[in-house]
Amino acid sequence: MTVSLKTDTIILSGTCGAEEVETLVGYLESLPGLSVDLGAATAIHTALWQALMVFRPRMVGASMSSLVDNRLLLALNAFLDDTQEPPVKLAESSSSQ
Amino acid sequence: MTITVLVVDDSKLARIVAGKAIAALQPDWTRVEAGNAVDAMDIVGSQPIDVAILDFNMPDKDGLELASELRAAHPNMPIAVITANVQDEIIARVRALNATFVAKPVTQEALNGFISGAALRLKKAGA
Amino acid sequence: MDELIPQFAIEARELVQQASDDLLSLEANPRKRESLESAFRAFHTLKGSVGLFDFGPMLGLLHQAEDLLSQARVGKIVVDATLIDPLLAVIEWVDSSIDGISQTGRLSEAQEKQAPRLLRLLTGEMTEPDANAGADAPTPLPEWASALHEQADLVDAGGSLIAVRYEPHPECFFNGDDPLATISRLSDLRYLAFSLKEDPPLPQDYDPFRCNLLIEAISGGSLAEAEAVFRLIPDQVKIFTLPGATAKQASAGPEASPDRSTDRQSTTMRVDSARIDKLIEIAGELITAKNGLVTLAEEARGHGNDPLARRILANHHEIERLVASLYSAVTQARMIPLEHTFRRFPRLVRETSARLGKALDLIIEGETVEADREIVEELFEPLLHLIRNGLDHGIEPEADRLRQSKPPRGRLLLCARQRGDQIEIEVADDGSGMDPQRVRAAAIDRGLISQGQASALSDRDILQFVFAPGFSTASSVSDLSGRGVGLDAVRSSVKRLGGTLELQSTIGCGTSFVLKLPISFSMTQLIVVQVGDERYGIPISDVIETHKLAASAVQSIRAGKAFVLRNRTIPLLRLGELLQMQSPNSHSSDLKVLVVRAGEEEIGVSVDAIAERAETLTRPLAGLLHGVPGIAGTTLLGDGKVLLVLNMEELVQ
Repeated sequence: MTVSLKTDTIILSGTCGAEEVETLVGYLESLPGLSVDLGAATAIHTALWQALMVFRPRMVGASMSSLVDNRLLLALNAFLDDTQEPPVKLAESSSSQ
Repeated sequence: MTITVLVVDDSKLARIVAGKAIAALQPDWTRVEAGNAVDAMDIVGSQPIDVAILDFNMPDKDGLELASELRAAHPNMPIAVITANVQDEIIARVRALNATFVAKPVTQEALNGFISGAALRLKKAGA
Repeated sequence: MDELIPQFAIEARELVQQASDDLLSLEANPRKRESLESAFRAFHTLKGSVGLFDFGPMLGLLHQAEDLLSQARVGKIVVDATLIDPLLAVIEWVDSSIDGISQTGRLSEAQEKQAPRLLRLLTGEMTEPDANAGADAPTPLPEWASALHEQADLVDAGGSLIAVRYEPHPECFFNGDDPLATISRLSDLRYLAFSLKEDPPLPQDYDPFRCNLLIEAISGGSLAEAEAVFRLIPDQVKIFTLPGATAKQASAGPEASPDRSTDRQSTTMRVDSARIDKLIEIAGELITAKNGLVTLAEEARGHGNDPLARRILANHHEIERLVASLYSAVTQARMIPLEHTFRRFPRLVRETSARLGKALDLIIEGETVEADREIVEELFEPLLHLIRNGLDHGIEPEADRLRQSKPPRGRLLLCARQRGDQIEIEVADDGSGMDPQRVRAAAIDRGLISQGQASALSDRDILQFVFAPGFSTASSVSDLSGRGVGLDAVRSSVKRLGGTLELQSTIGCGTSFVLKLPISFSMTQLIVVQVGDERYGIPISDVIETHKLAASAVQSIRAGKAFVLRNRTIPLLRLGELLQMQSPNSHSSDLKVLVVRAGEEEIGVSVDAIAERAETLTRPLAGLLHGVPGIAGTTLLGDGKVLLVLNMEELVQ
């Protein structure tokens, strides 16, 4: 399992292929407020990056020491910084469910 | 649901190589083979095929023609066209058919993108 | 002080040089797109470096300058003198600030005071483009590409740049595409951004398998490489070479000689010269070490083992050959083109000629000739001196030139040629030339020669007095075309580099200085001489001739000795005495005499024996011997002994 849940953190580890995006989105949708830890991931498919852009979870463990291509991480952070407004009505709506 | 992949190539060796790569990537998939386009169409007519991997360079009818016939009948089928001959014109025609271009030699790595994308699509369609 | 300052100084000097080259090239050809792009990059990079420190107003000035260039790039303002002059003023100011900064770590107050004036220059009125112009404007950048370039705000944007805009097909995941992985394959990714094409969808509409991304990147790699990365999905990507890069490609042809330096930079790396010196040193030691094999071969022969001796000798030859080529390769590593020094002159000449109000053309030739790095760098001061002199006093004001039917614009030639293992550099002006009568009068005035001597000397010989120490200080000289000023200093710095400086001048036609220098310090032809038990090296360049002299031919003149050579009386000194050595007075037989040049004079120096000639590497002195007069350096001989190399001129004085 490369996308797994540990207490209140979603952990991405190893090579995370496109097929894992459903698991990730499942967690993000059903349990808003979860953090995502990229620290142990070595490769993350674009589909998962996109999910992180949509759901904007708090990112932990994804320091510069991350195994994932740092440029992608920087670009993701830049995107999140540039689009200030809380994007996901998703999180709100799912919490109201 | 078992997934069946059709490998079409006039070279037996090429079919074995492709078969091995598929087996390594998706051990559960069933593989069927055809040596030319006519046989391939027969197989497609007689049994359900989920994924097609076609050699471009075949006598009589080439992989692109076969791909366009398959696409007409199966709008969502993941199709790959394989060739050692990387020409922009061929790439463009493959893309126009919404098929995937895979360069020879068909290694596990070369096929990985297509196979995992196909698996994704089939899973999505099946879900 | 900030440890980054030294690095800043190195880079800033290069950028200043680059910017001024580009601006001057723009001045000559305002349409030269690559110079505009290159100037922009130089200012931009310089601004980025300055931003790391607090150099007061420098950052703001550079920002303003960069902004102007940026406007010029998009055609909002015209490239003309109203743009170039203020930019050059800023570059000159930065240039003159660097020394202070590298010493104190900050911008000096004096420099800071000039900043407001420069800012006024920069914010002055610029020329708006003529609406009818632009017939041959460069290919317009697509809007996305220029926006991307702008947004990327690259700090170091040297070389060619490729802008990529990638909109993956919504279904691309199903084709096995991983767009962000694909774009990461671009080499030298300078900028990467991705965003959602459409706003985040409502939960029921969000499809994690649909790609909804716009990905933009700037790569420092080649266009071909970017195309290869996206080869299989050409329908989803736009690739554009950013301007500057295109221009550079266009000028890559053989006729584009002025841009050779840019090409060259791409294949060079910066190496601490101390490392190369270390290599030269090791190579030198290898030469010594390999000679041990000869001894070994003799030993083998002594034991009656001739075959082994032969094999050892064969090995020795092979190693000798390899060491020699290693040697020449590492020496080669110290070679740089004269351009490093020459390229600093156009701006200085422009500056000085503007100040003096003299219109002139500086013609530079042979800047690709290479020489040892130290020689190339040390040449700057003497050449600057000669050029300034030519500008200041050689070239006449336009009105005077016209009266003499000369072209109104003066000509200053700086030309280098390679001649065997020497370089020859000529600095020539077509100005007023020097008047031998006035030099003659001044030399007599200064007590340098007597009236009688003066009239005996030819005009050509008399002109040499402008190099005499003391001649330059004469106040009356400044109106003598001012040629005396500092020329003795120029000659001694050329000499220090192992070179000579000669002068030719014709009244009304101009003056030409010719510098001849060794290409490299590394190999020097030495004459090895023996005094007592010691051996010394004397550079062949110092020696005019060698003679055998019968002891009876030596005459005593006052306290000293002398001999007659071709009807001239030449003072004779003993090397042993010059070196304050205790040597037996065994002058019974013939004397071996070297005739050496000392200033304008020839002096005989007697030695006990003249051994061999040797081509060796003379190292500048370090440590204890540094600064000992009379000693030029040391060199290792083949037998492993260290040989002192003498500076005869210093020694006989």
